[in-house]
Amino acid sequence: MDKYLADYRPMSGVKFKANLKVSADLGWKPEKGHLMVFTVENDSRALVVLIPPKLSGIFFTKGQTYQVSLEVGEGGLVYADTCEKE
Amino acid sequence: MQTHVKKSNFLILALTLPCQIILAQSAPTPAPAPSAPPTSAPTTGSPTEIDSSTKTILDTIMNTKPAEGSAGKAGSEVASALADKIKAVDVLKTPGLDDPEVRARFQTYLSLKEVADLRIKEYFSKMAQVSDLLQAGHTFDAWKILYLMGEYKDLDAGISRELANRVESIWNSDQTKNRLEISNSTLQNNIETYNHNADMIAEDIRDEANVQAQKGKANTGGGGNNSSGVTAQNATNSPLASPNADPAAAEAAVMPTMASSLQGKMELTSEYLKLLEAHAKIKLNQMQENKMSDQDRLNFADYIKTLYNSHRYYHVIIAADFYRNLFNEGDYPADLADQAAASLGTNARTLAQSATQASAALGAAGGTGPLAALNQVGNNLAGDHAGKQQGGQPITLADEVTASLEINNRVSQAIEVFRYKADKGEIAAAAEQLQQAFLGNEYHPALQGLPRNEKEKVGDFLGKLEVLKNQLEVRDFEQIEGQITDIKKIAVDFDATKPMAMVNGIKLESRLRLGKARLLAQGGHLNESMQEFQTAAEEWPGNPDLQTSAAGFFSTEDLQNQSTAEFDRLVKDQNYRAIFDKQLAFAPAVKGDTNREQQLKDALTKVQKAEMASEKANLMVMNGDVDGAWETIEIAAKDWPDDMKLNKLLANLSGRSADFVSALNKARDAEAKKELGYSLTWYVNAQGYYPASIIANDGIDRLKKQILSPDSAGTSEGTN
Repeated sequence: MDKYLADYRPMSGVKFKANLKVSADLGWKPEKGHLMVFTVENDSRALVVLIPPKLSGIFFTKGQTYQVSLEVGEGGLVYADTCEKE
Repeated sequence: MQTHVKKSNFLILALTLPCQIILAQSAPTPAPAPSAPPTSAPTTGSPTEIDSSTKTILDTIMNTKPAEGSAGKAGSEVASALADKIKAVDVLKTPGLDDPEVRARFQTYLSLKEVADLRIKEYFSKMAQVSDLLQAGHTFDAWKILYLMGEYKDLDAGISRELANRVESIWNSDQTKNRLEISNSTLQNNIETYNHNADMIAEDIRDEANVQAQKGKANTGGGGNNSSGVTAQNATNSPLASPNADPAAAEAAVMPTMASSLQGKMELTSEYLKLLEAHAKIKLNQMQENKMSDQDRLNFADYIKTLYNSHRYYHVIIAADFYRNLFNEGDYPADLADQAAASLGTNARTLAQSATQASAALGAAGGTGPLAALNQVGNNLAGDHAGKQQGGQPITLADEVTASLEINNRVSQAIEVFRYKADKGEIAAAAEQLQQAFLGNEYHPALQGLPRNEKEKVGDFLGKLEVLKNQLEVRDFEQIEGQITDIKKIAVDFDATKPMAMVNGIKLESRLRLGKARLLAQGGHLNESMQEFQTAAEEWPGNPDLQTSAAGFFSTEDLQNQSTAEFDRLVKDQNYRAIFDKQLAFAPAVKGDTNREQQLKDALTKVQKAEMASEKANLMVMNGDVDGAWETIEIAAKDWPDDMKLNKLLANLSGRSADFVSALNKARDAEAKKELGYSLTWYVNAQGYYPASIIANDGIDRLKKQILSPDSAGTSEGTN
């Protein structure tokens, strides 16, 4: 989180896993997926993640924590590849 | 800060006000007024110059308004009241010279060369001689001297010759009366003759009767009774009475005696009738004589009145002396004056009026000195006359003589005082004395003998006094001090206190009215302001403040040009705060100019928003909402990035909400680089610092739409 917020560019294309807690749902489009806001444990700062349509079966509830595989995409947009409820 | 909010409200009002009010708002107290500096006005520097727009307005006030009965009329009334005030100043009065005829005569007199003293003495010695001769009863000798006096035309003006003619006409009338008296004397002689003749005839008749009686006694032969005429007559008539007498013999006996007796009686009757006729003629002549005498007296008394009315008082006195001699009266007869006045009531009235006029001309009642004494003489005459008219008692000849003597005496005293005052340089007092003397008796020898150079001082003084009066009447106060100085050089006793007090009073009043006019103009009461301005100008046309005030009140054109030029410069410099500060001046100046009006509105809105933001930010800071305060200023600064005040405030707040500001800045930077995901993350973080952030929320909405619906800003759902 720190590295990303400091500068996302070195992390572009990098895949990593993180435990994220649902903070807010910014919106949804069937062809784009869910745009969610997560926080990491012990850090109040937020991270915006795009949940692709393939993961549309997951019902995110605010406050729940998920283990998510992430990839930093173009323009610093973070995509979720897999997502499992803890 | 509240002040600015109020100004904004005032601006809206100003924009809706009519153009006239522009002037009133040009100099508000709180804001620095853009009043036109005097040097910028297109003037030539003349103290009385007024620019064209002012001239037009003043022309309307002075020429149009008076006819409408408003400001100009008020000004005219003020001028009239001031003129009355000026006339009421004692030192400016010239008693008796209000009458233009008298004034002209007095001015002529002042310029005339004096009559030589020796000549005056000669003339008046002759006049004294006339009086003396009349008192001694030498009327004819006195009459002859009148012709000599008539030779002194400069002193006498032919009056003595005319008096001599009047006296001569009385004498001619006396000759007629003498003829009547001679006729009466003849008639009287005739009466005596008639009386004598009548007596003689009567005696003859008686003697005849006795003789006849003797004869009768002898014819009857005795009897011896001759005790009475009747008996004798009866005896004489006895033949006729006897019934037995022969009628023819009886008639023959009686006839001689009877014829003789009748003849004597007719002669007696004739003498008696002549006697009666003579008595009647005498009576008629006497009546005619008396009538002529009365008419002469009336005519002569009337002539004396004429002399009195024309102020020929010395001639009144000698004419009165002639009157006494001609009509053999020891004093002026009241009965004659009564008759004259009764028959010529108008003359009597004129006399009284003349006396009153003389006293009035000599000055105001209640004064002191010779003038008051002369007044008293006139008033007494007038008062007596008024009373006598009502009671049927007219003025007598004696009154005229007494008044003449009195007036001559007073005039002599006035001349003496004149000389005394003139010697001391007190020309003001000397002039008053000379006027009084002239009005009392302008033919007085003392007046005629006054040297021209002494009179010229008075003429000079009165001339300058007249100029001073004119200057006061037209309120040319700038010249008055110099004029008073000039007058004082001539007349050390001239008291300038009252004129100067009046001048200073009027000046002060004019200044106060100008102040009032300014206040009224500032209050938007332009009509009342104009009235006050005009009245102030009427009171003191030369008031140097008039021009300044006129420029301030009425020179809208210059003011407007200046204002628009300054406005354009400030717009170009984007100095909206300066425009805001001078909005009251600019609002009327740009009125009607659509482009400038919009520029002014924009500028004012900009400043208004900035000021509101500042105030809001201050309130937020006070409530601990520093991030909110920063964002408020940040949004305002976006509209007006060059405003120093906002930038300074923003810099202050940035340090106090660094995390929020930093997050927003990173979000904005990323957004600018199209790094949508990274930017959105930072907007979300910024919102975390300040959930109510407009910038953050707007950014989030904007970016999520772009990410989810890059081709359109379609609907989106989500929780926040």
